[in-house]
Amino acid sequence: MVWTDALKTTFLLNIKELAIKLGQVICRKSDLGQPIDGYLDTYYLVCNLGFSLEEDPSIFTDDDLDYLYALYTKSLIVHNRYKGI
Amino acid sequence: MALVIEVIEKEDASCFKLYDLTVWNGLFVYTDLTAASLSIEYLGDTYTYNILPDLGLDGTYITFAGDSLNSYFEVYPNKLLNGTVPLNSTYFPDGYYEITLNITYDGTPDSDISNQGFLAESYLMAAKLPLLIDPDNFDYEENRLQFLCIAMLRSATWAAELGRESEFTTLTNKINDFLDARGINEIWST
Repeated sequence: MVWTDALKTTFLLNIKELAIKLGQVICRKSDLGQPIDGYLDTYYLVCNLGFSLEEDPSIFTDDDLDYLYALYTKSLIVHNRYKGI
Repeated sequence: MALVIEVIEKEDASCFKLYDLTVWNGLFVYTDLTAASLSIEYLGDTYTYNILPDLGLDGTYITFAGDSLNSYFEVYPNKLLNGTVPLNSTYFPDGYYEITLNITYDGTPDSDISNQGFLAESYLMAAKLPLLIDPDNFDYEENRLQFLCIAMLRSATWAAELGRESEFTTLTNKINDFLDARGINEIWST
């Protein structure tokens, strides 16, 4: 896939949205005294994707971004599967 | 042309940098800028600052904030007024800010809003968390939680950027609880 600047911007925005949602889930679970371990790895991954893209998206090739997008999609699926539990 | 601003808080919270990312129609003509004022909402109060007299514009400037695209204008808290009452602070307290720039350029009013989560103090407090580098007594769980704190700080910044004040508050409350529980004291807001 050819990653234009507009696509990269949208991708970063989507990552930020997911990071915020995961952060909310972790806060809520923590407030309820429920375990959060199952969410941490996904949360770190999503945040690190955001850090990297925010810092300098030009260092990534299109193949890199395809891979990162696959990781993001996997995280999104995991979040959607378990949200609210 | 649409006015586009970017706001970045300085690391010590003493001011924030106001960038002008507007794509002007040709070069910015400083004499055409006849009004420029900031309106800043923080904790339900609105503070204003007429920045036009302080911009120091002259013929070499190509944006309203400076003489190059990388230039910026620094906004200090002691310049902000709530009515006639100044914001009595030498720093921007951590929190959610809605910053609006209103200008009149070439006779046309324009404005842009930037939502910001100022978290300079929280970032410095998080930096005071002890490094867990002793391999014989490595606290894996605490290490994970410290990374969680850093990730939440960045998520809170993103929540503010996207105008999600309630999510920003949820995250920052959790960060403050985390730092309080580890005896990390405020650095300049005590």
